[in-house]
Amino acid sequence: MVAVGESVATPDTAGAVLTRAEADRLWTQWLRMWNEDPRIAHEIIGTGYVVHLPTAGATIDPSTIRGAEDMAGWVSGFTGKFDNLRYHTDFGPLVDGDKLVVRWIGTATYLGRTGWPRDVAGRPVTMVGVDILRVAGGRIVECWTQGAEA
Amino acid sequence: MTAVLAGSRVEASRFIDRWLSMWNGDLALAWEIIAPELTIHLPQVGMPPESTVHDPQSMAGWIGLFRSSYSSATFTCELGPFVDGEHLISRFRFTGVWIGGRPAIATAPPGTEVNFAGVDILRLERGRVAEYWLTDDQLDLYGQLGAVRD
Repeated sequence: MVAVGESVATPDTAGAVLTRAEADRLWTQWLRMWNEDPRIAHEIIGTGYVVHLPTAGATIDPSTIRGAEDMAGWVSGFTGKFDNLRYHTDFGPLVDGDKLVVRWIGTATYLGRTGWPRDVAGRPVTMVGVDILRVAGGRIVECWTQGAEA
Repeated sequence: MTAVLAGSRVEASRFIDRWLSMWNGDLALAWEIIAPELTIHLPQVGMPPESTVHDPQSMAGWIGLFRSSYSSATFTCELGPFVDGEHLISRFRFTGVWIGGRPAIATAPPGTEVNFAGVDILRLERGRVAEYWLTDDQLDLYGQLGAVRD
């Protein structure tokens, strides 16, 4: 017997169903966190937070990011490696089950701080990638991100 | 719009199975799952010009060329697939053994094992892929192959 509000756990749909409005709200806040104010992490990141990053592209060890405070610190540190880093939505959020998916584009100027092969100070960069966010209790509890220079 | 997959996770999984079988070497599947007119969106570096991949034939040709640099090359779906209307999303993991070829600037020895993630976003029309967005962790791949772009 499954009560209203509960869901039957399957590998990809465990958790409550995310509404489109909630997905839009969280994604808007996520972008504001990256573009304007890392402290917004405290409004949108849930407990037990898990991050999945590329291996070579990651500027941190993702296992050290376990909550809102860690996330705010990472966002602040990462965006500080660029001049004028701005992310915008290419398309999405697409919504399925407890996850939202957005293809994003980021633009910035390198400062020579990321350790990436093409990071030469003064060089403009455009990145493209996809974030997949898992939501529970109205907050983001897991994030898979990947991308490359566009 | 024909949202043939809406609400059908089984159908979505079946479609992604065929999509990945195509990437895993069954190139004839391109004529079954790719629309006669295909639009693709790729990162610019290390990829063919987007306009050169526009139908089943050119899709199969691109996959064949990619695979020719590997003695084994396997894509698996590691998260998803997710369905939203006519869009289908799969985060994939690629594992392969590189034997030389592309990228030309690679300095790794033949036999090097590579492993990276990416996301496929597909838009279906009449049960076939009409539009395709690819992003992948190119820094991971290029790092593993010792291919440092200028």
